[in-house]
Amino acid sequence: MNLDENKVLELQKQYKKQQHHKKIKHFVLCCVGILSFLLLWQLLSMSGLVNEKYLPSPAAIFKTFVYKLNHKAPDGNTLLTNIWSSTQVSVLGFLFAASIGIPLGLLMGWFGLVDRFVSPVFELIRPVPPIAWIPIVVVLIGVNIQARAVIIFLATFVVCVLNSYTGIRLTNQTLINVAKTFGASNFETFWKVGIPSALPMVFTGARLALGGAWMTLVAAEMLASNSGLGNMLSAGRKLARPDIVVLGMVVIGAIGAVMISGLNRLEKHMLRWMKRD
Amino acid sequence: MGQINKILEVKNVTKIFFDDKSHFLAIEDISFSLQEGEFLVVLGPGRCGKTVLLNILAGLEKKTDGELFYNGQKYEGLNPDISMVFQNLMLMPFMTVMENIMVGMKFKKTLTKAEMKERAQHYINLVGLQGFEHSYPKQLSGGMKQRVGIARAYAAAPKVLIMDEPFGQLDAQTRYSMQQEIERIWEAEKRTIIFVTNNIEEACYLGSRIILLSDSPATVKAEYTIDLPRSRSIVDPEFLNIRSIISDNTDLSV
Amino acid sequence: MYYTYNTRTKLYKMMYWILPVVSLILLCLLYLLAVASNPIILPSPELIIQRFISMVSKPIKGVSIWGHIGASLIRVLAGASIAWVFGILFGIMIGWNKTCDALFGSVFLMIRPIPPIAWIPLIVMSFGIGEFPKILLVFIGCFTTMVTNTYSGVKMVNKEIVNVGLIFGANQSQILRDIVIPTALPSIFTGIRSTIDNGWKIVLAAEMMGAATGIGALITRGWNELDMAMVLVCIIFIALTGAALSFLIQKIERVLTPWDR
Repeated sequence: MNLDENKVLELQKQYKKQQHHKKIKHFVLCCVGILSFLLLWQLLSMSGLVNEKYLPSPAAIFKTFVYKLNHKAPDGNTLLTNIWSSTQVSVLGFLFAASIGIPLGLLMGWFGLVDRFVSPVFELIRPVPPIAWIPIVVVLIGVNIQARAVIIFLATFVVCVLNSYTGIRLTNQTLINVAKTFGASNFETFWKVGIPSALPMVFTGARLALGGAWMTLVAAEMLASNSGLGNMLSAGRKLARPDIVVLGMVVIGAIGAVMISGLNRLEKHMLRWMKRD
Repeated sequence: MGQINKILEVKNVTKIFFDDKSHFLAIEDISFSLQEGEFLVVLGPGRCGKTVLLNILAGLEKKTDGELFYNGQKYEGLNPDISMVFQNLMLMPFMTVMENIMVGMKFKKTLTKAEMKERAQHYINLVGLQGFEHSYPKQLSGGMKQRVGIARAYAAAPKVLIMDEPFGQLDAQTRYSMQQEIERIWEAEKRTIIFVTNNIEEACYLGSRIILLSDSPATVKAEYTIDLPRSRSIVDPEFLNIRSIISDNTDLSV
Repeated sequence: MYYTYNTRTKLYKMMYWILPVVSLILLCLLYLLAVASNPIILPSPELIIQRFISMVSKPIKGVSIWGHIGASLIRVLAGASIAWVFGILFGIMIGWNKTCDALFGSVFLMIRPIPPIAWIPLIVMSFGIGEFPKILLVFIGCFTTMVTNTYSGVKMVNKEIVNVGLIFGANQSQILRDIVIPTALPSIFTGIRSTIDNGWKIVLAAEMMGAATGIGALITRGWNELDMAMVLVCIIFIALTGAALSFLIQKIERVLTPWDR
């Protein structure tokens, strides 16, 4: 070795320092970016260049946030009630739709006859954006939580089915052949080869579906509801309270982000568990 | 032949890869020199660090210690006189064969478009791809794609050409014919070539000199000069003799 | 065993053709059942067909049905195309340059999770319910999608192919222009396809919440007047238009990327 141990250790330390610096630099720049954005916004608001009537300053929104934590005005519910109500409906709706949609998609993708039976109906529902279903559902069922659940179901279900279907269709034929040579029945191959290999796309579908469920719920609440974050948004508009509106936007965005990251964690966990198999 | 020009010299090059907790010694104290006009083969087992060495020579990777000399001058980093044929081909899928070969020239902006086209056509002819100038890589076979890579590297008018296991992805038959092809191309337009492989037979067939590397961390185990006339027969007793000497010495399995 | 044995049986072949028909018949029966139990609200099939014909032949609020669909589509196209330009530029910028990623990408990540629908109240409050706010909404929704796709396209470029550029003497801007961007094009096209999908959904939502023309506006009109037949016919039109759009985009994509067949 023409490099002695000490030199190597020194280089190792240098490398660690470099990486550390890079991370700090990145973090600092991110903070600078976000803070200067907020600062610019605040300054524009205060200077009057941006009318507070149309876009309130970050400070005003924060004040409203604190206020809304405990007060029901002006939409009739505190912020926490709204969050709870919206999240509840969308997550439950999502889980319900996913638990039907994912297996259905997998079955449709694998067993041709299932596909032939379900496809026609499915293809009729698919091209319609879930929002368009809101009027019919609401007129039939009413302005209540069941109606919203149905709408979310329609939105989520389609996405889950599609992605699971595609995922299992992409199963590597070689793997299927291997299973066949070992004498596995069609169902066994489906269960042990098809489903695991479809999982990444199933999760992609779940991610999209969750995002879609959340968005559709907010839309449904804006159009036909008395509670929830979407309703808060709508009320804010009707009462000319842009601070409530922006507060609603921020909270909706934040919760959406939390849900997606939760799903990602679940995916990592599940895939690790699968790999151990 | 006159004075032998050491066009490239590698002195005590070492490369260590660091990560947060540990380090990995890829190359340990490699030294050798490259003579102008020769076909140098660097032979070593798979995953021993050959590609890392090539990347260092080409300037794509930084060495941890050691020195590199080009024509007697120390150099560091990218060298416009050194060109490379990549192991994974790396042809631009969105460019035709002709455009891919012109990549070798167009970034340097030293030639006009007409001159580039002419030169590209010359090399298309040299590697035997006439008629495929406007095909996309997707439409070509493995051997043909590799020829594009070679033409591209040649078209850049390098003094030194580095080839990183260019025939590794090909089937045996195509491999044999490509070996003959590269020999023909080299004889037609002499360049200094560093050719990396893990196949002893290929090394003996092509190399005027062979540098044998050990398993990871890579060091120079031995150097062999092969004086057999070209084109070599792989069943020639002399050839087989050399081959068995090398194979006894390697960490390789044939 | 499945593929070689079952597909040959006559039963399978029979089921293959019968099942879709059966399911469609079941669906119609279900609908007729629903109509029977909700006669006031749900329109019978004859009524739907009647409405369909009347909507195609007579204008609604002065504009024909095709005019409404056209108005919606124009809004989508306008908002989406501006989103492509800015989205691709921004996406390349933050994907290629790490400093820009830290400075601007972080702000983008904060704004991205806000669903386009949630922007509607704010924009309506500031800009009303004319054309501009609708196009702005489509732009916002499509911009985020475009940036996300472009960013991942740029990030996914193989380091080795950048090495090719380096070896042959390219500088950073040449690498970006001649290697990275073309390699990222498939992702960019996926983004464009997604933006058309998204834009269509957003325009519908925006129109449903306040517009004079556009197919979303028609749905709201039908809803307000409890004219469910109109609503259903609108849904049919939406489905058809959406399908036609997807088809068109696929064709265009094939033409523009001949090397990716």
